[in-house]
Amino acid sequence: MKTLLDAELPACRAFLAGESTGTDGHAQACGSCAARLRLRRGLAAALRTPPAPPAALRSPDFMAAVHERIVAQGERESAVVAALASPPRPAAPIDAPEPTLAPALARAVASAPRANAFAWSNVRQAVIADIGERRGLRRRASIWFVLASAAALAALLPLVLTPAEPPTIDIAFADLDTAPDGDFTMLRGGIPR
Amino acid sequence: MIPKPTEFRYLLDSMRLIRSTAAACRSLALAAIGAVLPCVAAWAQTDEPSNASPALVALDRSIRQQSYTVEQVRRFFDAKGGVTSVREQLQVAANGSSAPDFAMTFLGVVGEPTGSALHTRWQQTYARHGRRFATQGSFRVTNLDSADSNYTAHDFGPTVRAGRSARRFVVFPNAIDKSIWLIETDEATAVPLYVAEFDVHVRLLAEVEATLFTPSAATLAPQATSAAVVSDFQAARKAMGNPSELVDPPTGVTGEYQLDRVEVQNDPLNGQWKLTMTYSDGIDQFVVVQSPGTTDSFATLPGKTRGAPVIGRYRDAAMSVLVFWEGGVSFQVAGRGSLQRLDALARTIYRQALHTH
Repeated sequence: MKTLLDAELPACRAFLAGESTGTDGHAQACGSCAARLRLRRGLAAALRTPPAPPAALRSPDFMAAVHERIVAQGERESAVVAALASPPRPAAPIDAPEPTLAPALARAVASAPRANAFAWSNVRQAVIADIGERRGLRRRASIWFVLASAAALAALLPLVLTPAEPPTIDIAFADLDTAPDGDFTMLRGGIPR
Repeated sequence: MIPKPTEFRYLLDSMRLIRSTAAACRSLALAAIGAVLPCVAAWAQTDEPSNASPALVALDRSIRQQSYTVEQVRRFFDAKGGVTSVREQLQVAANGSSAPDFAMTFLGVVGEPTGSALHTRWQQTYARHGRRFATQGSFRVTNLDSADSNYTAHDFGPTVRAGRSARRFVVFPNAIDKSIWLIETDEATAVPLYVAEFDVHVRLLAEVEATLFTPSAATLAPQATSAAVVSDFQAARKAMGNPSELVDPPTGVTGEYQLDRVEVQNDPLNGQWKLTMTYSDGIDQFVVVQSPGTTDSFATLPGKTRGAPVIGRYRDAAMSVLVFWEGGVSFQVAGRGSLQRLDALARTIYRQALHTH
């Protein structure tokens, strides 16, 4: 009789591969595959009908007791909350390097009292304000940059768009001692004496 | 319902009354329209502004409508204070326009014997420039609207001039750089019998005084003239053979002075062309004269020898004359002495000439 290890036979392998199709021709000839098929069908029937829980678990009193126990556990201080309330502190004082910190300063740093929450809140606010101020400065600088660029463009645009004018010619006046000849000179002053 | 005979007669009488009343109203309306229309047409034909000074209106009307003959003395003042008095006769034949037909005749120089050298020179001068003495040598309203907007006339009451009743006016310019005019006009004809021109410092610059006035003129014989009045600059250039060097001065720089007259003249002595453009503010005038085909007579001016453009400028109380030469054309901008804005005009025309050539 073949065992499950014989499933490596090609016929058994083909039967296992096509097992989902439900053909049981090979199972009639192969005992191993027939047993396998039988177990599968039994397990499927057992899974279709889940077993009923015990009567003690289905009673309302049992469920109420479970609920009360959960609430009571939640009201007590849990281990996680206790751990968060007392963060781990370094086991030994900070070993400050000698060349950078004086021994007195190192001891002061190591034994410095922890800042309270209010102080850290002020620091946080100050940092946020500082960041906001820098952001405002950057925004204002951007606005000024855009405005300056627009002004420069507006100043240069007419120069670019208008046709180039000929250079201004300096014309000088030379004062004359006597009136030049002409009709108007004659009209106003008559003939020269 | 049929009306009774009495009611019917009453209706007929009422209809007759209404019909006769309507006919009478129609006749009255036609008569009124017939009477008003000529008045409206006459009012519409007059181009005189309603708010123009009466003195200026009368002067403008006399130029258009009044023919006359006047003997007068014209006095020329030179820069050294000397005075030359010349007697002349002006005959004017009105033609309805602001440019009447006229004839100017030289009579003599006061204090100078006939036939003297000075007498002869003045005689030749009048033969050549006499028309210009009549058109530009004294007070004259060339455009009533412009004159009224640029001057204010003040009536200083009656007087007597050349044995005739006259009225004395002072015509003040609205701008300070123009002459002040004292005028005495004939009471009957509004023809000027005395004109004196003063500058802003009340210095006498020119004077014309009538000695004999007759409000009529003999038939004028056409006088030979080498000048021709044309419509505009383009017509003048065409008449001169289209020389490309001429410059049409821009209209934006002349202010309240508008182009009044464009004249083309061919000098009979040397055949040289001359374009004279006269600008007027209604009374005062200045001229822009361009003579192509001339040599640069100002090449030796200081500064000109270094190649820089130079305008020669002569100015005294009576006149401003600015001359320059460019591209074979001699330019002259000339006006009354206080009109210093001519400097800027000459400079503008010079730049235009430099860009043209």
